[in-house]
Amino acid sequence: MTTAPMRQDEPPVSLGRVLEEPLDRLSAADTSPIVRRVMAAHLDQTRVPVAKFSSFI
Amino acid sequence: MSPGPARAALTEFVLKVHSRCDLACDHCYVYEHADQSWRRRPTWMTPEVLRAAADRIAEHATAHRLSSVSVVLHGGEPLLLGPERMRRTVADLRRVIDPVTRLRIGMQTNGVLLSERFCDLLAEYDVAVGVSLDGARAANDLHRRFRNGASSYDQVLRALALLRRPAYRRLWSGLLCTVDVRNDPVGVYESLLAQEPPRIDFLLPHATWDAPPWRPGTGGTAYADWLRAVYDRWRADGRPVPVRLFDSLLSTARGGPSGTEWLGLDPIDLAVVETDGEWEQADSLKTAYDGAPATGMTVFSHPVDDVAASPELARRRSGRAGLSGECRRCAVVDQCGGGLFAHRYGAGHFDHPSVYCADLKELVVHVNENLPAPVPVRLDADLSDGLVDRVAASTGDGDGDAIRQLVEAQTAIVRALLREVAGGLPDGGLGADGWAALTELDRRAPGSVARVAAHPYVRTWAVDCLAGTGTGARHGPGYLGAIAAAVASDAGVPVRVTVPVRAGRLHLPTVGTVLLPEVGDGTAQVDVGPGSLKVSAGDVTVAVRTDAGEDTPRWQPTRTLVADDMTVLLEDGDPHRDCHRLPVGERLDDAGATRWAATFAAAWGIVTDEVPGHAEELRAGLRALVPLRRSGDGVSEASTGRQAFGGVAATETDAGSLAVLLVHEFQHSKMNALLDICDLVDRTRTTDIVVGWRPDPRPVEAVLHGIYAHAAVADIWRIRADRQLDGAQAVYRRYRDWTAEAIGALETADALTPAGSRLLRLVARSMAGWPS
Repeated sequence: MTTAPMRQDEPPVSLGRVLEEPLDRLSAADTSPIVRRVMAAHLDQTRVPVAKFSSFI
Repeated sequence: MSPGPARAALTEFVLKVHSRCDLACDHCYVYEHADQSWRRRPTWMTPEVLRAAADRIAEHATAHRLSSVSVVLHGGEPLLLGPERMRRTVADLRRVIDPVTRLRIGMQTNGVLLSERFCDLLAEYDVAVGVSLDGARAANDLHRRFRNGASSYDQVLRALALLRRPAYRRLWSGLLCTVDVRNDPVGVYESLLAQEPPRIDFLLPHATWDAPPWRPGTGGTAYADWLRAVYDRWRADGRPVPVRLFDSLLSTARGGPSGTEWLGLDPIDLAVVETDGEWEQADSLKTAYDGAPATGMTVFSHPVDDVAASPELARRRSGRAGLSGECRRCAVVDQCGGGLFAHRYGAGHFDHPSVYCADLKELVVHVNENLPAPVPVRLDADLSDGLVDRVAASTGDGDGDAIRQLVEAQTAIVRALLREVAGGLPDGGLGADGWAALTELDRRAPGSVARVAAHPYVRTWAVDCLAGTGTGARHGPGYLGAIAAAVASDAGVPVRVTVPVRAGRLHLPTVGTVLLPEVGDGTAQVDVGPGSLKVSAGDVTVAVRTDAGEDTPRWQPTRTLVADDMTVLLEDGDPHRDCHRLPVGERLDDAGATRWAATFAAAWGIVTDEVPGHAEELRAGLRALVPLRRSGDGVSEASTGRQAFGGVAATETDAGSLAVLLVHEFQHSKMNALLDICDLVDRTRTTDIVVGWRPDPRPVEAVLHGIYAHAAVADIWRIRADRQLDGAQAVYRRYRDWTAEAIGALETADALTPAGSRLLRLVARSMAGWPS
């Protein structure tokens, strides 16, 4: 986990490359931006907590 | 969808299972503040009180047809119960409440006594664990000490190390940190982050106007300054972990719910049961005055409805009307909501703003002026160019090729997620041999990898895994072995991998479930052969024919629903299918599966006859149908998971209704897939829009979803009306009007990106020729 600010100027990500390259030849540069986009959307959807009780998380 | 629970229903219950604590934190509201009722309470909750509380909760869930309830085990320190009493407590709760509704159990602990034995027990009964920690050693030692003054820090860190283990990670619900403005805010944030929690929350120390919080100097907004520093760092970091306080502020900034009792105007729907069985309000009120949380009712004398109807709880469901005049006039009241109820107390009443009013106002304004930037990812044009037009146009005409493009994009996304999960595997740990097998299979049998990756609940697993929020029967990274075995089974390629077993079930996605009750939670070695599996775990060896369609005592194959040229999985075994916010059904018996098969075949006939364009799209993208448990009185329910493209969940219904809901829900699935690769909504706009199909205003993305899905439903009913089907005209008009009105509202809101606006215009154009 890093606390370094995210870059705001990343180049477009190729989904085609992720489809075509063998899994073990994919790099973090290929996949991390896609994962970050998916996870950000997921967390935005699920961030409303299940417990309203403030003394439990 | 089913109606929401009745307004007066409570859905969250805090059980004070132990009223004493092994720490003596000087900021604890239970022992150190105004209410001293703990002195007269029994030390722990007896089985009689526990069962009465469980009966009351089950009775309430049944009466209000609640789809889920939460129970939080709290104290004092709940782990002081010891393993055996804890087992009886959670077993009783599950025995009484599980049959009537989905029960989520959580526990907040100081972590000191957390052991492997406890973790095994909590895993067995699916109990989420929140831990309290105030920062690094020095920050934590300011308050969280034993009675003799000794630090609790090392014990708590040992507990967190346990919860980070793959076997227990799914149990961990997060870290709760009480703010002390003497600590460095970013230092505290980073020390919490270093523990890799799935979630964090920052609590303000409980205080009132009669007993105000400590501040450096006089006046000022030290608490806002402290939290603002953390927020800015968290935002700059790209929000690496959910922080409940900040997420609540961001949600309320968009007009959404706060999801917590101490912000926003959400109705409070929680009650507390003390160790002696007394019903109480939220226990933070203990900070106000002695006896403040009391209701005068007990679980033996009063049902939950009486507690919910009490004036104290009714006031806390009255939103803005229940606030002081000063709060009602405040510009940020919708987000702040007057702060935590207890913090408003002073001079004998609660008709004040929060004692943290200035801090809250400052923080709300700061967050609103510094909303997080959209995730800066642009995807290459080769997949998304023109796709919006084709998907938008496919509200009726059908474009199987467009759906196949969405499927390709989904496959790419799942491959990226798989790689990310694998990147976090420890060397030689569970999942490592699965990943090695999967990468080899990716070269030898890429079609099989694509087929298994396209299963909706593989992505659900991966996302939960990466979010660290998988609970219950869901798996950690070791499930890569199960995916590899499923791929090998599909390809007919011999493979040996280690696969996790959870609650006696070893599941291979799209293939089926091996039953290993002897194993409980553990691992098994799986040898995949042509049409067969050999599963070995300790002394147990099970041989399974995967090409045999029958259930056996050891094997539950994933069944298929076949109709003409359409085949989908009848998914009632995948542990990750439980992502639809509605209770999923258990494994169907043969009769149930036969009924589903007949209904699906008839429904498919209706879809191909009435809306052949949609049939073409469903053929290209629908992968699995998940039976839901019927939770109401005959109310049909259906759902699409945001992370589960190609999966539709539904309660059992008739063929005509199933036809409509397949089309309806798959529209949502298509929209989700499009949102994965295109920005359709302008995230900087926070408008909420009133729509016909829901009583509450909806966020822009939800309105776009609704328009897209309801346009398709209107289309079906338009055709049924053409064919003079009884009542069809009225249904058609209702859906058409809802959709048209929402399109108009969304156009006015100016909250879509150019791509989103284009999609909206195309949907509107497709409806232009429809009859009035």
